[in-house]
Amino acid sequence: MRKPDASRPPLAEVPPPLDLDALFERFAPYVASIGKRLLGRDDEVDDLVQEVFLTALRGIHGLRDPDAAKSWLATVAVRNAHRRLRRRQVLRWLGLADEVSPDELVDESVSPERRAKLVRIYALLDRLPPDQRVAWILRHVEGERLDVVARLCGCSLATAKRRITAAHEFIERGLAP
Amino acid sequence: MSDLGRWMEASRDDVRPRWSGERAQAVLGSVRRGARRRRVVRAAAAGLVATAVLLAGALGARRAVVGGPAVAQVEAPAAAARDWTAARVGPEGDLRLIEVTPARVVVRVERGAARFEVRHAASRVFRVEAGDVAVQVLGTAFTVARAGAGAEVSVERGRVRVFWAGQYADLGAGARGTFPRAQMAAAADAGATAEGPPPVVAPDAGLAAAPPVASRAATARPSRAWAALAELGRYDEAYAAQPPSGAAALRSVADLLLAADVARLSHHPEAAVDPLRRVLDEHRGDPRAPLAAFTLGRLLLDDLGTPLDAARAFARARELDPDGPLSEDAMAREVEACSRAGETERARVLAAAYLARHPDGRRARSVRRFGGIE
Repeated sequence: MRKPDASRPPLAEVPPPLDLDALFERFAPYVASIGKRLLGRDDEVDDLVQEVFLTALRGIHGLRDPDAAKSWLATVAVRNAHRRLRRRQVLRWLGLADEVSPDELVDESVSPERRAKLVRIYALLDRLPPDQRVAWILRHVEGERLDVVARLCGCSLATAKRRITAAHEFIERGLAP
Repeated sequence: MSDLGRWMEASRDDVRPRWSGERAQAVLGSVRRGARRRRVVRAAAAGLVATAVLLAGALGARRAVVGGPAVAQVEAPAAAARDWTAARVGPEGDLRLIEVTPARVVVRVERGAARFEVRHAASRVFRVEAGDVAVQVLGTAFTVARAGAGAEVSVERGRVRVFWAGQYADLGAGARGTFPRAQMAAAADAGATAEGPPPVVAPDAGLAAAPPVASRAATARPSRAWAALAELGRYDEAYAAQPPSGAAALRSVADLLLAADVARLSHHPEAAVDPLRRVLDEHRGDPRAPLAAFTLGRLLLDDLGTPLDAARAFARARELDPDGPLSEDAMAREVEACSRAGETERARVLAAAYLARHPDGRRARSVRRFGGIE
């Protein structure tokens, strides 16, 4: 007879798996926010959220802890956004990418001066490689810790730091009068 | 952390999606449909057959249907958002699906009556044709019944715009009207509704001359409740509660810009035009005037489809602040607006000026394309 696995909690203590509706209601605004800030445009956010949750459906049966779910969804969202940014970079190189107007980027309530600066920063971010852009936004916009940035980007801590620094210097140079 | 880092983190909430319950529901619906499709594909023993069916469905949704057959009931294709339905009322109803594209749906009532339920979508025009009358939907449930050469339109909820012989009238919830009709008759008829008289204007009066929309339920309310609702992001309620755009209560630039935002974000782009024009006419020296002009241009070009007016608005944005942060974008969009208006020579000249001024401009590619100098 097999011994019970001591590392696993008794069945009665295992919370039920999260269902799609609960997961979506709780985390879709969060995923949409990350997506908007990484992509810098509103019109791709719906597709990103949809793809993230479709991916989530594959692993939903193993998801029980909401905090773990949030972290996992963030990882999926970052990877999806990164793919989109790379695709956009290729399209831009081919002259096929749509450009985004300031109204698509910044919230309506923002002052014109602030709006103008954000538009300039995102215009500079558009010129960066997606790796650097994503790492810089996660660090300086999302306010993530360096180790979290590294995990979300799927790279080492040193690489994450290098990407953030390179992006930061580029943006500061671009903003200099 | 550097100043830039701190500033950026403080600006985090300035870059946020326009996420709403309605949008969440639409995306969740897409996720469910996507999941269903995935299950179907996985479960189908004849995988190739299932895939072919899905592909055919997807292709069918993208193709425009022109001059379709008579139908008893139609609804948005499965692969598109299911945000409208049309059903004939009574056995004599004759309903035809004329066109279905992502940007436009046209249904014709040949005989009898039909009832429609349509959710507002800013990127899609929903139009019902009945004899000499066309009804353009602004998000609503309504019935169109043929009456002689025209039609009787009854609105259950929301709002529609009825066009006939170069005129149009807006009908709100509970309103009913027979069209075509004389201007006076229109005003008297709709005046009997709970929502006040609908505007009836000749198309050459232009959007700026269009009176405030009829469905504003609280036009006589002088309170600031609308602004508070807008601050909370409850734009539909704010729109219903705000004073008419020409009202004295709306005087400051901040209020006029807020009123324009409320109109835009509650899906009433036509009502955003007047407050933006008032900023330009009454406060042209204000530092926010270029932003008002730029927003007006974008509204006229992207939402209202009047590129010539849009080009004027973008030109005004540049003129008000030639070296400002919006100047480059305004010039690029002016090129696009001129091109869309068929003003190709003007578009070309402007494009050349843009490229001379911003040789590495971030809109250089689209400027070349719209300016015809690729």
